[in-house]
Amino acid sequence: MVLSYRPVSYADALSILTKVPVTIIAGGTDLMVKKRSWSNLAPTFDGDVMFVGHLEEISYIKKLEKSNQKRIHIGATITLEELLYHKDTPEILRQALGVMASPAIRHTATLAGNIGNASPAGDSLPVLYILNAIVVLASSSGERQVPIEDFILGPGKTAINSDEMIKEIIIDDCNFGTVYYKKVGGRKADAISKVCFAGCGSKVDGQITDMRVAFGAVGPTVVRVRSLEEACVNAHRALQLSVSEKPSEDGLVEPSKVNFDQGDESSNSIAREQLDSETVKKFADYVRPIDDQRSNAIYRKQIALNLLKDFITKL
Amino acid sequence: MLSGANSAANSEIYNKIKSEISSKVSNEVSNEMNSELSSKANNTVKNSMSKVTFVLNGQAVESSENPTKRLLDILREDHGLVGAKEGCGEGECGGCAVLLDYKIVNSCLTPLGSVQDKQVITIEGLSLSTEGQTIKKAFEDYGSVQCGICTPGMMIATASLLHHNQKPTEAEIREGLSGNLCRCTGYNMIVKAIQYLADEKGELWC
Repeated sequence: MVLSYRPVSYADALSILTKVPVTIIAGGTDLMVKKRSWSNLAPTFDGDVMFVGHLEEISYIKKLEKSNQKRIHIGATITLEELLYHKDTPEILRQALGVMASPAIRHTATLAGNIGNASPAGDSLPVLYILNAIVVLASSSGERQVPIEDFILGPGKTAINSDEMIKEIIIDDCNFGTVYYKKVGGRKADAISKVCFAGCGSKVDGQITDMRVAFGAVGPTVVRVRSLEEACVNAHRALQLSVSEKPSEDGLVEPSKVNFDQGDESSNSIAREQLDSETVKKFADYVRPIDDQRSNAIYRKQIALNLLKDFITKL
Repeated sequence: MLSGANSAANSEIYNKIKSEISSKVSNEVSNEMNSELSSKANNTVKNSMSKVTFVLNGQAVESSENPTKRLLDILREDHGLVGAKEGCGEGECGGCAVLLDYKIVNSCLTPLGSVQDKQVITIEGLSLSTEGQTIKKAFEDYGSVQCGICTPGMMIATASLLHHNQKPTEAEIREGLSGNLCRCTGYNMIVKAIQYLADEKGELWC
């Protein structure tokens, strides 16, 4: 007989985890579909379960500052709807949550659950990769912090141990000049993504200083390529330098007086366009979707790269 | 609605499937139990749920069913509340929507164990309230009901939306209904009814 545990506190939940292996249920919106049985029969859980959705101690959203870096701590039992309407939620995450599932699902589903489910098409995941999310895993013997890209190992596979549970998720609190989130699905609400894409970037004095992109549903895990992001930022810097270092009429280089916009605009925009196409081409090697019941590889790849292009152009 | 004969035949099928599956499950479990029994006995874990108590349409109820069972089945089979319906069974249609602490949830995705100590309101409960009656009247006046299968879910979504946002914009209304499918595609009439409710009856939800 499958037993159901309902810990009286967070500490109690950790102590249950040390004693029995359980499937942890917060909202249950993914698990109840996965383990679905006939009508009026219990779902097909193959072991004991533990309900944690009611645990108040891990239901919080806190903004903390540590060595000049502001970060947001999201407790594991915070629902998507609570997060969507919280004042501290970063804009890019808010946009992703707004197109995720439906109000009915968001009222019980959690961010921790979306991570634990480790679906390649999890809609919050590209954003969490961009915000350098850290998953805090707790057991009765202590806590450990795992970056999200090390936590999610493949479809449905994570680095969690059987005596651990997700306690919170820590994300960067960044102010980006441009935030861009797009989900491509069969329906506006309640669709599982064919492709999802998140992009964030910032400019200082017309110069791109930060650019981050992540793709969902184009591989076994979310795709984020930090080296290419860096290369893109550097290439933009080099392009602008080459423009601003153009000699003035008397032959002297006066970079501070030359404005990017006052240069030869058409040749600048051509150079910029070329650079952006090259960036998209480089990312193409990393976008390797598959055919499945929701979409096919050719469509997914084209859409993913179109979204990247659109984002870069708007940056 | 099922006729009496149909539902009797149905429950016969249910019972047959139930006994088949439960015998299969108990065999598997007993095999596992032998190996696991000793380790489990040494680690006595408290807090395993034997009963789930919650408030259903204003009345305290208790269920000793398996806490992983779907709230939808508990409502329909144990309490005879058949207003919540199983459409897709995976949270896409909103036919099974109920209010959990006055927020819309899909009862097909809600395990019984997670409603412990919470307040569940079904369409039957909502209909008895002034809010429910007002929504019903607005739906009638604006022609928001065609075949009627989505109507309980749509009314629950309306109540949930207006409870948390008394002055929704049209976009917010459509967002509030986004998890509910209407197979007659009568969305515009439903949206108009809710706009009327927000404009004229907003004080009900304050």
